[in-house]
Parts: sequence; structure tokens; C-alpha cells
Amino acid sequence: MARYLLGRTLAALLVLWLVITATFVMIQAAPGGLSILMNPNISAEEAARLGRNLGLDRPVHEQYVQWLGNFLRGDLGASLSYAGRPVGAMVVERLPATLKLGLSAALFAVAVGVPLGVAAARHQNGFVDQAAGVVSGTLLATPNFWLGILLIVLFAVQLEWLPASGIRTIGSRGGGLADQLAHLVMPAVVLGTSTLAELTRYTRSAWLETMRQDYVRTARSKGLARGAVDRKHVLKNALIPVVTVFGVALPRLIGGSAVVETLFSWPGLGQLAVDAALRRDTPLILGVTVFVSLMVVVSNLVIDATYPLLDPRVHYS
Amino acid sequence: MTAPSPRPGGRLRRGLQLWFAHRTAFLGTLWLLLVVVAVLVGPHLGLSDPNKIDLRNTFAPPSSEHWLGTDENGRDVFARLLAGGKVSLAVGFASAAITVLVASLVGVVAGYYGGLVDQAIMRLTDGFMAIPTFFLLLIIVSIWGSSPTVLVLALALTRWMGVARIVRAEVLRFKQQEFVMAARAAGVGEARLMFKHLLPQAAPSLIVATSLQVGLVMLVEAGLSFLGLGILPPLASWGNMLTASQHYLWIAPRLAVYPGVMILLAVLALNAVGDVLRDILDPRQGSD
Repeated sequence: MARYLLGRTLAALLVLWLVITATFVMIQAAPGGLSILMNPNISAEEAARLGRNLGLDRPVHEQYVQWLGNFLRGDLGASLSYAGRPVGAMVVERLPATLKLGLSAALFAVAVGVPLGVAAARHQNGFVDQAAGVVSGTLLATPNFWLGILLIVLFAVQLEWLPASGIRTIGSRGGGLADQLAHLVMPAVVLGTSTLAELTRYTRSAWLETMRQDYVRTARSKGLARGAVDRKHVLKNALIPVVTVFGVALPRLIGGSAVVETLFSWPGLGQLAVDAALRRDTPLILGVTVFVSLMVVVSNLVIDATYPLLDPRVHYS
Repeated sequence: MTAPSPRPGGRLRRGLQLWFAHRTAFLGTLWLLLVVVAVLVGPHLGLSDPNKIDLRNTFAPPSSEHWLGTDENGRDVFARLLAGGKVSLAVGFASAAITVLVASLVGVVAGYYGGLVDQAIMRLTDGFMAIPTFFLLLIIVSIWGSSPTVLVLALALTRWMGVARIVRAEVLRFKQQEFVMAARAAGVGEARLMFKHLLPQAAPSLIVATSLQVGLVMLVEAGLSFLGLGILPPLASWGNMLTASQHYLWIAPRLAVYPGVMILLAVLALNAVGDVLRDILDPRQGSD
């Protein structure tokens, strides 16, 4: 167990190192190099301090060490367009909204995708199966922001059931639980759809795969009812690969939020990054990227750690 | 050079039969051909100029002059769909082509040398896969802007990992076979062995992966262009046509429908073609 977890932790640290190094290489390759991270309009003393922090006056390998060190100490740099505000503080401010949206989308994807996959597998080649195939295939080919636009046209413009944007109604009457839920529905559904479609597909094939196992055949041949076999023997085992798929989907669930958050004016990390890219605020996107990578790496590590608990066949290797 | 087959003619015929039998793949192929011909030939048939602004004729309904009406600047929507399709398809195919080049190089080297080289390359590949690549794209665009060239390279840079893994697996499968040993015994050099003898064995999987890549890349490009961080107006792309439409949902929701339908159909068609190619070329990886 300890060895397995150590291995996974090292892999996670490797990813973080890759991200930080890749960003360093990109900035070095940029016209102007590291100096593009400095606001040209700041005072001379401030510029000198920032320059020292980045190691501008030193050779490249020392700049790289400095770069790694800054991130290790949790210093994500200073924004260009928001008057030199520390990126770390801005990220922490935006984190709750992104978590709220991402977790709701994940919940929606699991709650619909897994049962749909199970239903498709239990009626293999039947109507439900074919319908689920068409739906998941179509959802995977749909740009999620376009789905969002269509939903806005239908539910906000035509029917006027749901608000078109924002996280809550501004003003004295807004902000209650019902109001917040109404704002959450469309963005969460849109962000969750492609994960939903993939979960449907993987649950279906994992279920069919498990049905072919000897222990399932044994359970059925000793006379257990189909429902009992499905519940006691198939479901648990079929869900194992689904957990893995969920881990793979995480970066996209968080990365995809950039487009969805912008479409729905959702004040999260994705919108912050897009806003920063439009303002050419490179240090701000850099900081958000490193932070989001950290989030993804940590959640993958948690999934890796639970995997052997779910499947005793994995000998922590 | 492809894998030896007892009856090459029979194989081709069986492939075509599968293609015609697979209804969605057949329709998808027809649709893709139609779109490609339309975006290439359309502009030479005397359609309206996709960039001609006519502020006295904005949001016009469909008519014989403007088949799908006009947009918020009075530009012909049909002409813009064709112009945008050309850009979106070109970016998708170019980027998928570069993805395949990079992935082939990485996959062949890792699979051929094995050992530590393979370990190092595959750990890096896994690492790249765990990075939320959309944010990397945002960094690239904020530094170098979003010209079509930058977009094509950046999209390829964030997508090579999965294909590289496929190539590596194929190389591993074939490198112990007699024809490779025979070639080596005959004194064939390493580079030639890797790229002339081993890489072609991975061709079927590569073709399948490429056709699926194009659709994926088009979706990401559409997202970036929609955000104003991809193909920039006045150059039309299906993604950036949706950006503008967003502000007129209350007056002209149909402007938001056409480009989205075009993206959806193109990606659906590409995926269907990829699926049938997998059935024909690579039956081992068939879906359930």
C-alpha cells in the first residue's frame, strides 16, 4: 500500500513539475522572455523588486530554480491588468464558484450517465441501448457552449423559466437557495454533458464485460434471480472502471469550465483565465493554470488511492 | 507498405461493403464530401461576399438573394457559413496531421528503443495527459496571439499524447516479428527500420485515430473562437459566428442555430467515418 501510494504521489509531483517547467519554457520562448510578466507601468522600485523575484538579472538556469521556488512557496505571481494584485488571492476568491459548478456538473453526469449505461447494457441492442448510443454520440459531437446557447434560447428567452447568466440575482431580493439553484441548473447541465456521455458508454461496456465473468455465470447458474445477480455481483465490479473514467474526465470537467463559465457569466476560475487571456494578462493565466493543475493532480491522487480499496485484485502495484 | 494480406482485392471489397452497410458512416461521408466541395467551390459561384457589410439590410430573413438571411452586419449568412467552414475544416485537418507526425515520432522512438527511453517518454506522455490543456492553450494564445498558424500548432501540441500511445503499442507488437529481424540482419539502419518498416504497421490505427482527432480539434477550435481567442473576425469560423449570435438571441435566435448545426454534423460525420474505419482496418479494437 505504502509503495503504491508513494509511486502515485511521485507521478503526481511529476505532472506538477511538467506544468511548471512547460510554462517556464513557454515564457522563455515568448518575445521579451520573462519580462512580459512585468507591468511596464509600475514604479522603478516595484519593477526592481519584481525583477529580483523573477531573477531577470541572472542566467537562465538560476531563473528556472527561482521559478520553481516561487511556485513551491505558493507565490503565483502578480497580475498585469488588475494593478499587480497577487494571483494567489484572486484564485482563492474564484475557487468556490468553480467548485460549486464542477461538483454539480459531476453529480449530474454520474446521476444520469451511470444508470443510463446500466439500462443500455441490460437491454443490449434493444431500444434503450440504441437510444442511449445515439444520445451519447450526439452529445460528444456537440460543442458544449452551443448546447448552452440553445438552452438559453429555450429556457431563458422563450419560456423565461431560468436566468440566462450569473451565479445569483443581484439586489435585495436575490440570493436565496431557490434563486441560486435556478442559476446553477443550466451551466451544470451543459458542463456535465460530455462526461455524462462518456460515463454512459463506459458503464455500458464495463457492465457487459462483467457479465461475461465466471463468477457471474456461477451466480446465475446456481439459480439467483437476475436482479439479485445484477445488484450483488455485477454493479460493484462494473463501477470500478467507471471510477477510472471519472478520473480521466476531471481535467476536462475543470478545463471545459472556461467556455461554460464565460457563456453563463459564472464568476469562477475558468472565466478568470479567459478574461486574462483576452487582456493578455499572461501571469494571471499562468497562476490559474498551475493552480488548476494542482487541483486536478490532487483529485487524481485521491481517486488512485481509493482504487485499490474498491478492487482487491489491484495489489497496489 | 501495408500488412501483407492474402487477397488484397478481397480486403478492399469487404471494406467497401462494410462502409456502405454502415448507414451513418455512409451518410457522414457524403455530408463531408458535400461540405468540402461546397466550401471550395462555393466562393467561385458568384455568391455574396461573406465580408460585405450592408447596414441597411441587417437580420434579413431567408430570401432568394440571401438563402439563409443576413446577420447583424447585413452579411450573407450562407456565404459566411461556407467561408467559416473552410477555416474550421482546414484548422482541424492541419492540426490533426501535425498531431499524427509528432505522435508517430514519439511513439516509434519509445516503442523501438524500449527500456529507460520508453519509460521516460511514456511517463512524460502520461504527465501531459493529466494537464488541463485548455489552459495551456490560453497561455499560448495570450503570448503569441491566435493566428491560424499558432492555433494549428497549439492544438497539435495539446493532443498528441493519446495517438503516441497507440503508435507505441503497435510498434511493440511488431518489433519482435521475423520481417523486422530479417531487415535488421540485412543491415537496415535504425532510422529506416523505425520509419520504413515499423511505422507503416501502425498505419491502420493511425488512420482511425486521425479521423477521430479532426472532430475533437474542431470542437476545441470552435470553443476558442467562440471566446474570441481563436479565429478572429472579420475572418469567419463556425465558432466565432456563434459569439456574435449570442448577443442577438432575443431578436434573431436562428443565427445561433446554423453554425452550431454545421459543427455538430461535421463532428458526427467525422466520428462515424472514424468508427467504420476502425471496423475495417483494425477489427481487434472494435467496440461492443
